[in-house]
Amino acid sequence: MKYALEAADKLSKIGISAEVIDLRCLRPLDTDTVLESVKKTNRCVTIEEGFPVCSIGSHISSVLMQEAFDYLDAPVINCTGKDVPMPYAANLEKLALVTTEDVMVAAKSVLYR
Amino acid sequence: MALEILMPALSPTMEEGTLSKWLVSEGDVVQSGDLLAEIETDKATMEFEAVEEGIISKLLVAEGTANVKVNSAIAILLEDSNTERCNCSSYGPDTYDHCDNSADSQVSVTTAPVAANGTRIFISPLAKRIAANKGLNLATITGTGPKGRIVKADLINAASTADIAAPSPNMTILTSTNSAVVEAIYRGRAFKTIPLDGMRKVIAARLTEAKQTIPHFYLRRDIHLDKLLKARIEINRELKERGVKTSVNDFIIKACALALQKVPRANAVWAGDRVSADGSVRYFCGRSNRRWSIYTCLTRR
Repeated sequence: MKYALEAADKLSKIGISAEVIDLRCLRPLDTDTVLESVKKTNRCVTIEEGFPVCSIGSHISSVLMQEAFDYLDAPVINCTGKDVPMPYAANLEKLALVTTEDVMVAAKSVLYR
Repeated sequence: MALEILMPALSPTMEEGTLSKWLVSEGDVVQSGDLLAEIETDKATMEFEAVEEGIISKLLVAEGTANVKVNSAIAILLEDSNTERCNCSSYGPDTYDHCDNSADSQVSVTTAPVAANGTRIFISPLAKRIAANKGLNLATITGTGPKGRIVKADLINAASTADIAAPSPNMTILTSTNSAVVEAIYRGRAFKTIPLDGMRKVIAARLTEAKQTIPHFYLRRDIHLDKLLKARIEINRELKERGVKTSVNDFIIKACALALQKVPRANAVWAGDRVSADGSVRYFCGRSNRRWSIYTCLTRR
């Protein structure tokens, strides 16, 4: 959430308005809210700290593909931690985790900017 | 293995054709090089050869079907003679029902949208839906997304210029609007319809394109042709033994060619942002003297 909100703040300064959805609970997953948002914005970036493989982002992408295919104007992008074992070194750990910068790049990319 | 035999593009401009005659029937064994069908393109009737050998399992398009789109499936070929027939049950009459029951069928096998140069158009799902709703011609839209993908923003730009883009010289657009308009005029009255063959459709499309895209202006002048007609009789007398005959049109063409050589500035083409001229003079001269009105058309290309 931290990265999502920070990125949304920074994006609003360059004229990109983002809807941030805090899923809070993954099971049951509030797909309706996500679908409504995608129908409005036509794009989606998922953010999580876990690994990219078998992530909740993958699942949301898959749901959107099935339920909101005709509303997507860009591929869904999953922002996750890097696909590596979590490093012990503090500097590497920072690099392995998702960052606000990652989220902003992804958001710009789904907007073709 | 079951292979789909696709409607071939027998000429570079061919988009659809008439399957005038099947030369094979279901169950026939064909070798590569065997003639499969006669296909009438926009210009001529050509024979279509098999590329693979196998057994013709099913003919999907009936003989005489017009407007079969290039690259739509027209038959199923079983590659290996040992393959059981039931392998191609998925291509059974249910799947291709729409091909069988329509005499004037547009074979509507869903394919990816294709640009004028034959490459696939990439378009986001949302943009595709918007374009379908608005009836936009995807070939006229330039995509700005990655790899030229058409996205929603491109359509918004395109929609604002749609008034200019709409009357693009596209053959299908022309025929559909015309036929609908004409039908409305004739509604409730007895009228007969004369179907067009491929060549006539192309003539109509090209002449419309020329009329729409090339500025026309008309000059009138009285010319005494007495000397020319005398010269023509003289020339024709000399050419008689060779069986060649010159017409007045031939002289007009020659006169135009000489005039264009004399005034090179007129012998040029407007190329959007510049004028192109190569000094050579080329003509298209068409004439038809069947039941249709005669037209003669001089164009420079």
